Amino acid sequence: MKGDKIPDEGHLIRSVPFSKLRKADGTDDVIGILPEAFAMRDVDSYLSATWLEHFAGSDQQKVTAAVHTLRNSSLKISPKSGFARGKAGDIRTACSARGHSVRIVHEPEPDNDAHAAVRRYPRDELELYEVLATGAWSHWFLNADIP
Amino acid sequence: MTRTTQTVAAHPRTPTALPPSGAAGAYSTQMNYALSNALTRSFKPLGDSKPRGSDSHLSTLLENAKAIFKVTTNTVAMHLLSSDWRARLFRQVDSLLDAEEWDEDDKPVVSGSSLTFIRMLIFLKARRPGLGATNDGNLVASWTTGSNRLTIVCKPDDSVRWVVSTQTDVGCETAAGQTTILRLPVVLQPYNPQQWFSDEG
Amino acid sequence: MNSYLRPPIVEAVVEFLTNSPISFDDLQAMSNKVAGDYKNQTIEKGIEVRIDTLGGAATIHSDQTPDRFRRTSDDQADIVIFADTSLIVARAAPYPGWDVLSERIRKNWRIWSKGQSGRGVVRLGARFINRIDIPINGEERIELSDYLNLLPQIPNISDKPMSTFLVQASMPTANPHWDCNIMSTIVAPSPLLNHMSILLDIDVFRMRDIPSKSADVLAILEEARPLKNTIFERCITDRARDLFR
Repeated sequence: MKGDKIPDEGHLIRSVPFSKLRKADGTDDVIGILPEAFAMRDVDSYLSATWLEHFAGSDQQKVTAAVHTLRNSSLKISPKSGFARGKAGDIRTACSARGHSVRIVHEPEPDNDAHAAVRRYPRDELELYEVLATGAWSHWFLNADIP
Repeated sequence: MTRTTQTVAAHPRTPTALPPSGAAGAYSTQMNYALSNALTRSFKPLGDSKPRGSDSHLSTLLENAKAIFKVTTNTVAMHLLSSDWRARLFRQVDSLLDAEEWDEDDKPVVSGSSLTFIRMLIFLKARRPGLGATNDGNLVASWTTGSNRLTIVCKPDDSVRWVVSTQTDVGCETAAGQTTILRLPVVLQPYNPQQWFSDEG
Repeated sequence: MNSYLRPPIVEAVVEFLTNSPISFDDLQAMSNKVAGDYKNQTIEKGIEVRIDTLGGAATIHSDQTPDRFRRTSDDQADIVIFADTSLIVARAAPYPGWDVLSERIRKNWRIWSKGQSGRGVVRLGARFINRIDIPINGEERIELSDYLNLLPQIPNISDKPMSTFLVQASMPTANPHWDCNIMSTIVAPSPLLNHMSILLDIDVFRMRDIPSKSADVLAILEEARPLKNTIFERCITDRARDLFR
């Protein structure tokens, strides 16, 4: 339901454009996520993600359904973009360890029923973004990996 | 008779201030401008080389950003490792600023960031990093050695934001800060920056 | 001529000037022909502004000048400009050497020049802008004569070093058909950290006895090469040469 807290065991995926994917030195080979993937724009008041458990089926089916939803939304999901996946509880813990008590809530949007918002999320905290990119939200896959 | 002096300040504070052959690129255009005006004499490396289009469409802006990056790099190309090094760097930039991939809500890379990026690479004598960009148009240079990561956001005017994560005996350690290019070797010293910059790293 | 590992040329410009204007459509066609080598095109619009102060109050007149077609290569290092009365072929750093440059000039010349008869070239110029990047290693002042032989001669006005300078001279060259403009100044700030940079701009040009036949014009361009090289070598010192080796 709208406004419900996403449980700690729930998973969030976040779209990451090619410009915020980490590449191996001197190449375009993707090897991870840049901290900037978790930075909010000035106009945003929360960090957007998609709640995986909103979808039914196996883990792989949930991921595929979430990606399809995002592809059909107003977000630009380009061929070389990717997704970062993390557990809500781990994300809360990582933020809390740096003094940020975030609220991760289910906030459906017209083109994404599974939309989740990370609220009270800090702006301009590069070190936290790096912690997320290397820990709580570091699992990644490419758009091209999903049929 | 007074003696003459021919020394010049190593850090000139005043930007530099007669009809020659035509102008084509940044230097000749500004040189001619400087000569005809004899007032303002600042040599920006981008000069006239940026394509001028009134079209604000994203792809035009991205093409301009690519052109500015390349012109900026070319002005110091004699200090880069090789033409192959430069060509590979340009391929990375072409991929990064590809209109098909670029998020429309992100600002294309600004010229000041490209200049900082190139000045930093030459100053650090660093191997080519991975490339990324921030939402607000700054280039991101990243180096990765095993699980040790260095990420530097290049802002205009030689300003940089850096973040490091390294594996230590007691687990993962992170640190971040903001400084200028000149101070980077000092602030990164505790993390053995050569692991990211040297070709053997 | 010395061949340098890291030539300091930041821009090499060769210009052919004619007094027979070329139509917009012909310029467009020329520009299209070189699209393979120069993929980016910009149509540059110019405005000539004149300020007339005769008779008291200033009056401003502006006229639109003909469009010119500027093309650049994918790496932005090669530039060609087709204008109503000129052809400019230029190369930014890294400088690939005269042989490569002259081949590019030849290709564009074939498109611009009008067959055997040529276009009636009235001025031919080869301009090489060099930037000498001097490491400063903590010094507060640089002795210009350590690097340059084209220097300002300044009386003792202050104990402090010059903050900037601009020297320009025009003169005939050793070849009676060619003249030159030479100039040096400071680039502030230097594009490199911990460096100070000096520009040395050498422009050799010919306005006399230019052959009318197309093929002969390119042949005389070869005369510019040793001239600009000699001038460059005479304007710099061994210490400057060490920076490019």
